[in-house]
Amino acid sequence: MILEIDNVELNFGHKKILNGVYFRAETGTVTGLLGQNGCGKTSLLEIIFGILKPKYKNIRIDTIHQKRDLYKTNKVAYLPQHQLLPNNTKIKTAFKLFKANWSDFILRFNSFVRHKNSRVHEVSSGELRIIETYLILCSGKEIILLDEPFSFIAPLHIEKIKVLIEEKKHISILIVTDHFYQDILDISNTIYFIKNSSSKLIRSRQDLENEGYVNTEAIG
Amino acid sequence: MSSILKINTYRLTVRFYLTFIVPNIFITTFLIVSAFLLQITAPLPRIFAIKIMLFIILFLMYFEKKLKTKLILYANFGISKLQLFANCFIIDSLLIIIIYHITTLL
Repeated sequence: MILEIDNVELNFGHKKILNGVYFRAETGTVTGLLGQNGCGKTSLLEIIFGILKPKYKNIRIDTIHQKRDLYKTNKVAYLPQHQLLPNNTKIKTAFKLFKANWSDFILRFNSFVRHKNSRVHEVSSGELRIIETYLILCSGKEIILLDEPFSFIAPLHIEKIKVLIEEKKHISILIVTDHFYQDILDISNTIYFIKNSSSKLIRSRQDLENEGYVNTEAIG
Repeated sequence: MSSILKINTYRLTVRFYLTFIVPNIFITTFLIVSAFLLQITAPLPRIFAIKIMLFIILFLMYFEKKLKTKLILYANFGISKLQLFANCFIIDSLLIIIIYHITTLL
């Protein structure tokens, strides 16, 4: 499956957020999205998901134009950068809703075994982020959008999430954005950089330096 | 499969409705008791009209950014905001009828 988006024009009032974005992602690869704060990464994910309406957009799946919001087609799952699950939800209920297997989760994240009967507000923000990321990745949807999946997560767990992303890319289109650019570089096969409202394909780490996203010392 | 045919849609709708069930029961009971005290004949259409207005206000409130983000969970299951509120209104209508009949028995 190939997802393409172009002709996006998004304005908030007089402020131009996205204009002339082209984006292509396909099953079997991880597509990374980088850019400064406020450049429109989250907006682009929300447009793909279908909850943000831009002035213009053209989303195609396997070259077929998608008229309906993608979330209504049940093809896409989206991890927002803020909390996804309501506070009063039990963790085991969330696993049931997403049809995710608790035992498989515990095999990867064994320290979470005590949380099966906990409610969302009883786990830390980092633990919740891991749970939510896992649930979205295991949702079985054809397109998975992850907005800052590595935020609040300990390095050891980031590595486990990266392994999971690597596994899931074979069955889903994965689009990931995060400010942990090194992790994005590690897992992504294709990277787009959003600057001045438009997207640019990044071919090397040097490109990120040229765009002023990272400094020379950080690239190493 | 359409989200209308999925059991998760109804599970999630009930979960969403439960977040404001207490004020809803309070408002419904208040409207029904007021109708009886004011001796309004056939009060149900008026109660439904008021409830529709309240649901429209609640629907509009969810355009606010912070509240809007709470609906992403439901969108992940293919449930649109309109579908979610329409389903909640159906549940609420059943609740109005139940409370109304209980009140008439008292």
